[in-house]
Amino acid sequence: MINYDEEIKKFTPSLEVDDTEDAIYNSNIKDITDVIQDLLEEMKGNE
Amino acid sequence: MYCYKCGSFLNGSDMCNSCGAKVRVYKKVLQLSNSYYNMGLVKAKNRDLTGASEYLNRSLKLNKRNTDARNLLGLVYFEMGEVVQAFKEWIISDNLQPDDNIATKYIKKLQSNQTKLNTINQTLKKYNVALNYAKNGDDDVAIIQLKKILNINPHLVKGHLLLALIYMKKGNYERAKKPITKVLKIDTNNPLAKRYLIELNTATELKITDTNLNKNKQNVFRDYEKEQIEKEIRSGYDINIPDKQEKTYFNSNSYIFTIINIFVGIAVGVIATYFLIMPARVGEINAKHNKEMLKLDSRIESLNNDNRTLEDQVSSITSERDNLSGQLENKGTESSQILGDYDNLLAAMKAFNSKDYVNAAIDISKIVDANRSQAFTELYQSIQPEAYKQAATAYYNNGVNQAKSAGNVDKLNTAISNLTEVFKYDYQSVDYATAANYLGEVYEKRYDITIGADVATAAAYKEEALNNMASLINNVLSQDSGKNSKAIENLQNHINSLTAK
Repeated sequence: MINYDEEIKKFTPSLEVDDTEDAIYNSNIKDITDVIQDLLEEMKGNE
Repeated sequence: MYCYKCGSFLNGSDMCNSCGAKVRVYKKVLQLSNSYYNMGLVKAKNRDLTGASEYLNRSLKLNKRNTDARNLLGLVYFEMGEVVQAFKEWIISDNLQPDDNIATKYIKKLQSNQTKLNTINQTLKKYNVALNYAKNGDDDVAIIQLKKILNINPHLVKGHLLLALIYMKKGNYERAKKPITKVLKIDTNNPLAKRYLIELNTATELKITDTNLNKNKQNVFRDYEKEQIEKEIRSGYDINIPDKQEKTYFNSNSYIFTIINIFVGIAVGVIATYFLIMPARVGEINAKHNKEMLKLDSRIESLNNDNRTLEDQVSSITSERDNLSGQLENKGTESSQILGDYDNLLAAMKAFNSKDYVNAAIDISKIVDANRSQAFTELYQSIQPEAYKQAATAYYNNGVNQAKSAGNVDKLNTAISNLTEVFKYDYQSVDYATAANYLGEVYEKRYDITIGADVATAAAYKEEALNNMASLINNVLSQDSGKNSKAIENLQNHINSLTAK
């Protein structure tokens, strides 16, 4: 059985059009290649 | 496919020709990203938007520059009513690949229709308000708000889901079905919608089972009672078993009670309607009517204003029309005058050529403007002096002859007419002093002949004669008094003489 009140609490407010800029700046668009490159650079730094 | 290090185009080799970076694994990653994109595309085509967004997000985690995946993800979000998410993906896509990118078109299209964008934004704001209401337990207000939002933005999946959840919370499972069905139409595999639907079905079944259980309980109770009675009969107790008639009476009685109950229910319903619903309804109708009346008033006012404006316009146009018709009339008069002048000149020419100078002079005298055109003026000037001279001579001769021989009033009148006509034309070409003298004489003679027979007529003749002679002096002869002094003197003598009679 669903606890309705708890379920409603899980709903998050929607982003408004004015928030688009913040949403873009805050989004993490790194892909796996970026992550691996970061890892490799970290490893090089450790050496 | 481009190198992740230097951005050069990669060929079939496992190494970048430009920077020498090893790209075998990178290529595999990109291929995997494309595979996820393809799977996402299939899901999107099947309207499994949640599934599509999952695959497309995976595709982008592998290759952030997969523009097709990002653009499609934006479209999927847009279809689910997540406009800001869609915008975000398209803007990132546009930044990563500024050239030849359909995301640019999507952004422009959305931005060009500011009204729609504002409407969508308003619905998102209202959704947040409705969510707050729901979280605070104001379910009814939240439902009203969400219904409004979903009418304007029917693709807002989370709005439908929230509405369904609130209905379910209130135990209104039938109503909850509608928004869930709508969500599943937009996003066929939406996990939340499916979960709510399962919950809904379970809850509905339970409700049905409860109802059945209650019915069963009642049946069991009835059976038990029946069994008890039969047992008592079998055991020989002397109990009062109702006979068939009583049973019928009882049954019919129960029917009567049922019918009475129904009528009582109807009456209560009618009373409730009358006292509770009707006032509100009447108030609503009155408010509506008042609004309509206000609207009609303003409309009537506007129509009156329009009417006044139209009346002003009509009055202005009427005066303009009158003015124009006046001008037209003047033009018509002028046109008829021009035509008349030409006709008169032609008639004068005709008469002049046949040496009928009197009629030629009469026609010429009717011409209003001698300067209609150069040719007109030339023709006019070529005949007018001669015609006037000849006419004056003819009138003079006739007038003098008649004056000498006239013995009755008719002949005297003819003489007067001829002698008067002399002064209308070129009188200076004849002996006009003599003509004036004869004119005076015939006036006096006519008076003398008439006075014996008819005093009144004689008085009228006298008055006419005095007026005509005075007019001749004042209007014709006094214009050149030096030359005309003899004629004036003659006329004046006759005026004096006639006045004395």
